Amino acid sequence: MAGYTPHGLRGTTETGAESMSGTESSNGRKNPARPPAKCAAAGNGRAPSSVSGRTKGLGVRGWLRWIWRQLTSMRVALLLLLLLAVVAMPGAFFPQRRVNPILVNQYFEDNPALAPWLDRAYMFDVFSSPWFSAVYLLLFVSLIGCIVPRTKVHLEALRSEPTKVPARFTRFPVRSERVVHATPGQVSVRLHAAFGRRYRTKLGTEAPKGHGGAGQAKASTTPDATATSNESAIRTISAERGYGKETGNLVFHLALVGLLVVTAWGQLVHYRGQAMITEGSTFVNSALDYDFFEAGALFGADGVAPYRIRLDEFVPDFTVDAQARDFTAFVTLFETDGTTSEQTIRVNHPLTVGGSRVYLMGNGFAPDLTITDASGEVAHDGPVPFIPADDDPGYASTGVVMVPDANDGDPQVAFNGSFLPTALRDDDGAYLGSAHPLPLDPVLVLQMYTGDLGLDEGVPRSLLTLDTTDLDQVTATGDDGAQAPVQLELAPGESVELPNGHGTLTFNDLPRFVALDLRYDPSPIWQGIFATLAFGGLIAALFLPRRRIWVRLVPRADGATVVHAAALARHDDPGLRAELDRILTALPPDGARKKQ
Amino acid sequence: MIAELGTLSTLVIYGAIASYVVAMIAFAVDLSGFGKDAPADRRRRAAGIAMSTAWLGIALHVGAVVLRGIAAGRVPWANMYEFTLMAIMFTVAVFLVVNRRKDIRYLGLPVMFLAVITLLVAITLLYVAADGVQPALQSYWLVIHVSVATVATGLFSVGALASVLQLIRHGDERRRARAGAESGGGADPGGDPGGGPPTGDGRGVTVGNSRRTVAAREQVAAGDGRTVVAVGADGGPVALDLGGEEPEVEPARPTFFSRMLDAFPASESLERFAYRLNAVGLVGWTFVLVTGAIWAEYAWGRAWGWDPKEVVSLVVWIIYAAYGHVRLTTGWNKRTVAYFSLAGFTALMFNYYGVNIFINSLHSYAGVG
Repeated sequence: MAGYTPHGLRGTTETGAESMSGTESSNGRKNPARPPAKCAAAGNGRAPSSVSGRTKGLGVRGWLRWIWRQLTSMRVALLLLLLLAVVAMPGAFFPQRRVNPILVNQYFEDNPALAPWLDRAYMFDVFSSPWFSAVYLLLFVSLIGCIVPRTKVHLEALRSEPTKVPARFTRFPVRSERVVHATPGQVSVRLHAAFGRRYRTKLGTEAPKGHGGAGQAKASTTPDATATSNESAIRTISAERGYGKETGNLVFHLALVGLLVVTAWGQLVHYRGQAMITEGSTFVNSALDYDFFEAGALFGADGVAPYRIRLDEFVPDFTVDAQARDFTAFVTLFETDGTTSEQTIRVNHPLTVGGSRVYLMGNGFAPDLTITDASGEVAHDGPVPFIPADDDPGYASTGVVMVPDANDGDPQVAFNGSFLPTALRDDDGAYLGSAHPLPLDPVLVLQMYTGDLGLDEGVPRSLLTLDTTDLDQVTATGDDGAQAPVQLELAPGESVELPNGHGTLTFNDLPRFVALDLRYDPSPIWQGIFATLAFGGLIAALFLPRRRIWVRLVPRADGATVVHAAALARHDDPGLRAELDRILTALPPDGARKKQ
Repeated sequence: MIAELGTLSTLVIYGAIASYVVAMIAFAVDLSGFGKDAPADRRRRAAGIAMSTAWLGIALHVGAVVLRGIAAGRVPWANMYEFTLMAIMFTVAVFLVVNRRKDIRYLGLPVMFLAVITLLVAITLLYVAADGVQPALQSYWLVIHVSVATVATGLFSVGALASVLQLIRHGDERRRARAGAESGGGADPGGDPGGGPPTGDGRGVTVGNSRRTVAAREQVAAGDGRTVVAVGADGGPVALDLGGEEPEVEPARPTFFSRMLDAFPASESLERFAYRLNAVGLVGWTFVLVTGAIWAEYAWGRAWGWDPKEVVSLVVWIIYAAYGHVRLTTGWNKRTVAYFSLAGFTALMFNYYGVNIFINSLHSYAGVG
């Protein structure tokens, strides 16, 4: 299907995006010495049909060359670009392990038959999957294969002179012709000034034989140099502006490559950890002190500065209808050089220490509990974080208390249950949830288990959910004579006797905890630089006009000069006509004017 | 007092919707060829009424958004209801502002239709009372990132409407070219038959009378197959020689629809207009992605985390980037370009409604569902 070409340009050479910067000899044929970069010029990138025929018998090298040509063609690059969009979409539809592992587990529970198959297709790890990686790597190889030759061509174009003046102007839709009562030399000087600094200009002369034919052109850079030559000679001006358009285009694409490279580098050297700390306690920036820690392949463990952060106080601000308005963690920072400072960490305002940043990612309550076992020994003493449910404005939280040291480990004791900051009860006193995130009526509701916690088996266990496989729930005889699970309910300051002589549980205090994310990654500043370059390049590539204007000044016998001018732009350029008119207004207004 | 301002804002939005409905009807009257046989100035009178009410509508609309901001004590684009209000405000604003420089009143009907439908959806399904925002949204990046997102959405919306018209026009022009070819000579196949407003593309301005001329040409309903009589622009009979060829298919009659299409510029001109809007939109969307990444770096501790909203925003960007490549590389059909534009807009709409409402995302600030 023949594509659109600018009106009046059908069948001419000036159709390709790149062809504007290709050279053109004055008789209208393309200069074969410099083929344009193919990724831009070859129309819609369809490889010539003869290529497949020629590859027969070309051997491995020929095939590789053919594959490279295909890969760097615009058509394949576009295909890969769209393919990238397609293969990214599952990442929006399916929960991703790296983004939200809890949702992935939930998906497995909800769809036990389908989930393993999706998992095999990397649907829960889309962005680290082989097929996603393949598409974006091929895309960037294609991009580099396209951009590097174009950069070379552009660098040459930046150094070279504007193109020769075409023989015939009639094929250009935007052109003008007028007669000026001045010599070609005078007109040339005026027009040269009118082009100004934005245009790169080249002045030349042509032999007067049948003006319009390709005369032997002489070129010079200033109008004065030719001013003394024969006044019967035809003068030409070739002017070109908008090299910044292609510069912007190349900067944009190269900056995208840069963005990918610095992001990959950041992934290799970064580390990231998560820790929960309660009010009054201190956390050391060390891989050992994190609840979760990950690092890139090139990360060195000695690169972690062992500074310490103590959470002094966490102050939340809620509206009466339980909407969060502000979270502030007041901390004391102990740096490695011995300096101590008071700092705050807020959402959107991370704490920067050295090259790392500490983010406030979550918060909740950590009831401070003391548990004694059957023998009266203190088996547990300290705060236990209870994690607020996602999207629950009332901060109804769940948590697990494990007491492996109770009764010298035989049996071990554990509790799980909820913490409700503002308990909501139905008419029978059963708990429904929490009405407000502030501890207006705090209640800790626990179930008790005894048995083997399985902590010694070396299998990692979640500290947030209780594996009850080897545990027995503690029950008691209820009012109706049946055995029923024991439910312990405490408010801060209260203490209860554990059933069956298991000891006591005391709810001492109600400190808060914060979840901190600590990240070291040197790449964001570079990402910012490359993103800015890409943004600027995109604007230049899209909006800078790329224009060529040619002028031929033919002397007339009566001493006047016939001015022929034509203008050509790359892509649509609604201002092209106005631009040509603007240049020509520099001429004296006398003389017949003919506009086409 | 503050809560009352929020209520007042809602009332003013109803006023804006009413204005847009009036404008929509007036634009429809303008397009439907209500004054086909009337002097041209009477036709344009309907368009004039439409433009006035559209300006009234956007004045009310801006007022409602400002009231909403005062009521909430922050910038008024922090939840889905407010974002929708802003995006439609910019859609209408793009239309009105561009129209000051070049006549695009033919887009009035679709723009007003989109505005009315979307505002009704916003007010019935997405409404939340004006209030403060959660800590994650308390950042000046909310001002920068989200406002540019609403502007870009407005630009892409008008661009997509222009692409739809372009595709309709393409089909119409092809039918005409066929009919022209069948009736021989007279017609210029694939030419620029539109009697629409000057497109400012430097390729000649269409003659005011060409609307009728085209209609007349279409009335080449062959009686004897050789010479037909049609009504010329001046009302007199015009004889057309069909060059001895029997027309095999009866050329299209001027239907209500085809008369309406006459009000639109040629598909090429529509395509160029859509590209300009989409190009500015693409720059805006790039800015949204970059500022979003910077904000995410501060708020969530990573610039890019493949959150569903981030994924689909990237997909939107990729489609519009591909659109740009297709547009700027020669050899591609302009219809294909329009399909890319519409694909990008579809992804944009999914990113907005689909991801916000149906997918668990860090960007779930909708306050609905």
